[in-house]
Amino acid sequence: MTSIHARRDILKAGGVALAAAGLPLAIGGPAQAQAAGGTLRIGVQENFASLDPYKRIGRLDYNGVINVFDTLVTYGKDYVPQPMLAESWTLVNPTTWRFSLRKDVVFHDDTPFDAAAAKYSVDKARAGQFGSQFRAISEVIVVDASTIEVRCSAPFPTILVQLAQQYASMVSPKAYEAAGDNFGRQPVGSGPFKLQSFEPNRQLVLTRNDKYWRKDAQGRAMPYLAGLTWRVMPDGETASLALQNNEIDFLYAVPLAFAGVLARNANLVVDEAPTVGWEYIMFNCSTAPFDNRHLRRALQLAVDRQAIVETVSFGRARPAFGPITPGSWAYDKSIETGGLYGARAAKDAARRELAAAGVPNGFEFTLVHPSSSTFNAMAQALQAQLGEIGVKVNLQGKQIGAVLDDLFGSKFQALMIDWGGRIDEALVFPAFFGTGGGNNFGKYSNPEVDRLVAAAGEAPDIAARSRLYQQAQKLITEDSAHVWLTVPSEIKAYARRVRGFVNFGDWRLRAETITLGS
Amino acid sequence: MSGLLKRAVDLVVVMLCVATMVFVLLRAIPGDPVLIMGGLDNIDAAAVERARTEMGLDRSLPEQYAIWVGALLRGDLGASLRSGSRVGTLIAEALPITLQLGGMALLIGLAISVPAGIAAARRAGTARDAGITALAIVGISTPPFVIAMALIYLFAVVLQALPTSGYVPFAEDPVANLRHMILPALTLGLVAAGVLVRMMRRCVLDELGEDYVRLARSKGIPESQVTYRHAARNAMIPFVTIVGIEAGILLSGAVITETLFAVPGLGRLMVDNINQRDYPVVQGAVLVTAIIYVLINSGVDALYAILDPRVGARARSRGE
Repeated sequence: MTSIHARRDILKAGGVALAAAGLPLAIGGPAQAQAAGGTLRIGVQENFASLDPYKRIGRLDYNGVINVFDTLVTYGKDYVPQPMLAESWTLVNPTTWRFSLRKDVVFHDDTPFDAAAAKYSVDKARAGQFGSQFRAISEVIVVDASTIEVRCSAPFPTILVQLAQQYASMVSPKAYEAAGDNFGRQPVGSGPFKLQSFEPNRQLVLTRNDKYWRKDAQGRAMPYLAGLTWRVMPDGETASLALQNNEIDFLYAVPLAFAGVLARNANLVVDEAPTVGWEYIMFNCSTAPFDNRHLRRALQLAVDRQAIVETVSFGRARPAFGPITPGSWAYDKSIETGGLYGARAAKDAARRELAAAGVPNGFEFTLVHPSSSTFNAMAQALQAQLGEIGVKVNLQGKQIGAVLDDLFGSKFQALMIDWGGRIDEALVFPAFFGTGGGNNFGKYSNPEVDRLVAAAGEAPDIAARSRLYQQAQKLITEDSAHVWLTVPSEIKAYARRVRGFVNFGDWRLRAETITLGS
Repeated sequence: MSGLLKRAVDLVVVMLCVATMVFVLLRAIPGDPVLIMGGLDNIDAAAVERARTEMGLDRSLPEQYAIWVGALLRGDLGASLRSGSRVGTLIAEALPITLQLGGMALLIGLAISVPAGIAAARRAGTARDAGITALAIVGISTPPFVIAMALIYLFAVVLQALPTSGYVPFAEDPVANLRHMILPALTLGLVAAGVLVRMMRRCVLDELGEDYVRLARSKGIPESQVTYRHAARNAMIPFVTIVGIEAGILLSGAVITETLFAVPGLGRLMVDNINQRDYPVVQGAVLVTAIIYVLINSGVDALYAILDPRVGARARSRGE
């Protein structure tokens, strides 16, 4: 059986109230009468690199990090910030934030979590891999044992989102100082699980942190599991077989090709949630042919997203209608029918754009894409679809490293790739669509978009921010800076006895809510 | 003594050549380690620049090369760009696993190929010979992943006798270690056996046509003795050369098999890190592979001396 998490329309503004009220993390409790304990065996298809939250580590590593460490702020499935190790926060003045910290938290090495540890960790994060995300912070000050103040050089409205990221995890300063470069292999945090053993290419074994501070709605201690074992199984097919064979309980990432087989197995649950990312084509707007807006719009209109979802993604993705993804608080469903384009191709409208560009019989361009099976299939589908309006696509499949070289060097006419996404539009819009933005390799520029995005960055509440991002999205899709193709799904598969897992669509496995039945 | 010295010099020369080649080739592949490791989630230009400085990738290539070789001469393989782990540690973890897997596979390959090759040669041209040869060709031409999936399906899914994949260190649990290793070793062993059966058959057949065999037969020595004591023994000399090549292939890591069976060996270490452009790890792993090849070659030469006393005598007379 496949359970698809329906998009939750709640909490556009309501989420703020919830966070402000300081309610405990509103994640669903476990099924009743489940015995606590048991070790969850998870199969993953990549190697781990390190669990040092501040180092250059990847998506999988953050799954280890999120279970070993806590953050000051966290977010729910709606991606709205909620308290975690910081019980509450106030904006003292436009550039100063004050955080009150929990007093009942100890690290796995029994040192207490306090303001000094919080300052230490935030300072480490500022110096770490994603330090540039904290560039607005000028100083972190310990006010008293359970209060810190973060002073910024400019208003920093997205500080809460940033502090909720795993790269801003709270570490034991004592352990970090002692371990130095080895911290990634012997991490010490305050999270629901602590390290037992770690062999990055083979397995990561975590055991229950009996002193974890969090209680569920019934007042029971969390986490429920006795431990987690993450096994590295690089091949998708053997990993799928291992799940069917009961050698593992949980498959972290189900390859598209195997989702169908696993879903037909009565003992398994296939759990699918939309991610915050896209598969898309970026245009180089600064050179021919795609400096011509009509040509970009022609392709946008000629693409049949629904067909790509059905054939390339086996139905386990959604058509993408713009940069705001279905799980976001800024998503507006009306874009699915009321925008420039829909899920199906609009060939007549596309031909009109070609005519307006002065090439009614079509033109030719080169599409760079990663030569993975999914992107190869997608590129061939696009080639056929665009061929129907007379556009000839020369496909250039390359290794991902070469694709990234082209992307970063703006050496492409059109380039197809995926983007993992961010949970807050403020981390997406300025980077991708702002003039000179860090991810804007296609050199898209529209002063009105810049104005709206800047306004959204400083808007006081989520309702106002949503409105502004939706307005910006309308302009961006009409300009067709990208062709958005699909919103991929995060697909998990697990044994029926695994209960309480919540698929956020952000590729983080939060194990503290999970129980294991018999 | 001087023979050993010559070997040592050979080893250093080979290593330096390999080191230089792998250094140059890796940097010739398109793809920037910083960009690949950060992926699309870390595209901030300032962060990329800083990472490049931290990794020493902002220096000129000759400078990077000099730093790496300098450390190498002190026995330091450097650290992974991605995780910061010492390359020496990563290899020390992966190498014993690959040696065990390759060693088991080689034993399986020999256990099958030596008797089967001799049996085929003794009855050359008969149905038995044709049958053995046909099986060998199936072994050679079936891709390892097909053999692997067939074995997994049979032993793990249908019979539920063995785990599908994974690895347990021998020291932790010897039985579990062997239960996990047997299928990957069988996969590699069957492929190797295909090649080796053909070679064993050819080598024995060549010997069986020699004059000394005819002489032995004419003296009335039983055919089984002719085959096993005379022909097969002499056939071992060319055969060992081929076994040496196979051993080199098996002991330097089998990428596909290690990936399918989730065995964290040298082959996977190398490929994962080529994909990540983690230069120091790949450089270290390739060097170790080169050393394995050189050592196997030395071992093969030593075996010649044992199998053929004339080789040993010649070497001694040249003062090697």
